[in-house]
Amino acid sequence: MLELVLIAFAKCVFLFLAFLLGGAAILSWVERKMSAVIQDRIGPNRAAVFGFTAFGLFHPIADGIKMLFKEDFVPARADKILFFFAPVLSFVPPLLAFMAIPFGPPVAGREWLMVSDSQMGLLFLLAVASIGVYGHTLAGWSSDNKFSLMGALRTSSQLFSYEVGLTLSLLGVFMVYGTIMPQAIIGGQSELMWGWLPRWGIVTQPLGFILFMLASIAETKRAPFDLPEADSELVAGYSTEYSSMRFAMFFLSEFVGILLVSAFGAVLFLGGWNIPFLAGDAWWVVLLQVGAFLAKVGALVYLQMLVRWTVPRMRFDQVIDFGWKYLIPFGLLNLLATAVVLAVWR
Amino acid sequence: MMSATPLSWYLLLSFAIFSIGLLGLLIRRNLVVMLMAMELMLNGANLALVAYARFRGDEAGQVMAFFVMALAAAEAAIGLALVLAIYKHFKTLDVDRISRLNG
Amino acid sequence: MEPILFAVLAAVALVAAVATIAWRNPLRSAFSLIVCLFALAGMFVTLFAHFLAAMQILVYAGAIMVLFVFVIMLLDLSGHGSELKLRILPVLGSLAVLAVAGKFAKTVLSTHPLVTDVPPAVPDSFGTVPGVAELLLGQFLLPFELVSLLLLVAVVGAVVVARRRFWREGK
Repeated sequence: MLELVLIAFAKCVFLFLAFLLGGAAILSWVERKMSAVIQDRIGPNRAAVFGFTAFGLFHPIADGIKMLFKEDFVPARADKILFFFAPVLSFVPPLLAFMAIPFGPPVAGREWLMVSDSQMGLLFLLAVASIGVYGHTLAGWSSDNKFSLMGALRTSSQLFSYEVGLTLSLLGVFMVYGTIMPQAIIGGQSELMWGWLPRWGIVTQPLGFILFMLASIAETKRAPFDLPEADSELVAGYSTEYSSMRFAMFFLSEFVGILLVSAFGAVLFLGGWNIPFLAGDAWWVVLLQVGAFLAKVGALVYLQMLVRWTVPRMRFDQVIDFGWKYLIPFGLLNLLATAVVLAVWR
Repeated sequence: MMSATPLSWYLLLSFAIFSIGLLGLLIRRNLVVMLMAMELMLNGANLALVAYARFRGDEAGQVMAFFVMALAAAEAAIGLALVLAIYKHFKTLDVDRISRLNG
Repeated sequence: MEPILFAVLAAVALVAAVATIAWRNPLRSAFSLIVCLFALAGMFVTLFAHFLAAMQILVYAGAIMVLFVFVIMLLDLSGHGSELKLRILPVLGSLAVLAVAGKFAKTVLSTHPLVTDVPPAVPDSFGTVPGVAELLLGQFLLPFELVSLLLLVAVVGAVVVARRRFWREGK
C-alpha cells in the first residue's frame, strides 16, 4: 500500500516538475518567439546569463522571478475568499487531468509512464477538465470589476457551449476503438489497416479530429476564440485585477491547458506513443515511443500556436453561433456516420 | 481493497444530506438557493442508490442514479429558466414577495 | 483505509452541504454545493461506481452547476443574499425535518439492514462504462430513451420560458 502511494507520488512530482512546469515555461517562450517571427520582429533576446542569451530562453525564468517579486494586489471590494481560490481552481484541474494521459507503453507489466490507470479512463480527463471553467468564472466575478465580470460571463457561456462539441467529437473515437481506456485506445491505433496504413484516430475519424481541434482551441480560450480575455474590449477579461503570482497561475494554467488538449489529441487521434512498424519492449524502443509521444504533442501545440497568431478574433455572438450551429450538428453527424459505418462493417 | 464500511453508515449520510437539503428548501427564501437545496436532496437519494447497488452487487441502482442525474439536469434547465423569467418580471427572487397569483 | 476515506469524504460532504444552505451569498452556496458533489463523487469511487463518479463531476459539477453559477452572476444576486427569516413556519419545518431524520436514523441503527453488511465480491467491470452500458442499453433501454426525450423537452421548454416575449404576451 505504502509503496503504491510512494510510486504515485513520485510520478506526480516528475510529471508536475519536469513536464508541466518545464513545458509551460518553454511554451511561453515558443509563443513569444513565434508571434515575433509571424509579425516580423526578433522577439525576446535580452535576458542573458554571463553574456549568453540562448535565443531568449532565459526569458521564462526572468519572467518567473519578476512575477514572484511583484506586489500582490487585491481590489478593495473583491470577495476575498473567492478571489484567493480562483487562480488555484483554474490551475489544478488541467494538472489533475494529466493523470489519465499515458506517456509511454506499460514497462515490465506496470504503468510506470502514466500516473493513474483508473477505471474511468478518459472520462476522468473529461470530467476534471470540465471544472476548469470555475477558476476563470470565479476570478471574473470576485474581482468586482465590470470588465472582469464580462469576461467571466463570456468564459462560462463559451466553455459550456464548446464542451458539448468537444465531447461529441470524441465519441466517434470511443466508438471506433470500443473503449474509453487510454492504453486500449492506443493499442487499437497501433494496428495496421490493409497491412500498411496505421489505424490512427486521424485516419478513422478525420472529421472528428477537425472538430476536436476547433473545440479544443475554444476550450483553451485562445484566438480566434479568445473573447473571455479579449484585450481590445475587456482589458484582460477575468484576469484584469490579478497581479503577481496569482496572475502567473492564470498564465501557467493557459499553457498547461494547451499541453493538455494537445496530449489528449495525440492520444486519441495521433496514436499516442505508438510508432508504426515499431514494437517490442527493449529500453530504446520505449524511449523512442516516449519521444514520439512528446513530438506529437509538440506538433499539435505548434498547430494551435499557428492558429492563435494568424487568425483574427471572432465576435462573441459568432463564437456561440459557431459552437451551437456548426460544431454540435457536425459532431452529431459524425457520430451518426460512424455508427452506420461500424454497423455495416461488422 | 474490500469495503469495510457498513451499509448503514452510507444510508445515514445519505439521509443526512437529504435532510439538510430539505431544511434548506424550507428555511431559505431565495429561489436559486432553494433549487440548490433540491439538488442536495437528489444527491442524498443518489448516494443511497449507489450504496445499495454496491451492497447488493447489482448495477441497476447505479443506472437509477444515472437517471436521477439526467432528471436533475432537466430540472435545473427548466428551474433556472423560470428563475430568469421570474426575476425579469418581479425584480426579486424572494419567494415571499412572489406570492401574487395575478402576474 | 476505506473507513478513513469514508469518514473524510463524509465530513467534507456534510460540512459543504450545511454551508450550501447557510451562506447568504448564493454564489458561495453554489461553490459549497460543488465541493459536496466532489465529496460524493469520491464516495462513488469507493463504492465501485466509476462511471457514475465521472458523470457526477461531468454532468453535475461541470454542467448543471455552471448553469447555476451563470444565472447567479447574470442576475447579480450577490447583494440579494436572502436572510434566514426565523418565522414560525421555517422553525416548524426544521423541527419536522429533525424528527423525520431522527426516526430514520433510529430505524437504520436498530434494525438489521435489508441486505448483507459485507459487500459481495463483484467483477472488475462493476460500475465501469461497459458494465453500466450493458444495463442502460439493454434492460433499461426504454427509460433511457424516455429520459433523453425528457431532456429534449426540457431544453425546448427552457428556451421558451426564458424568452422575454413569452412573458409579455402571456400577461
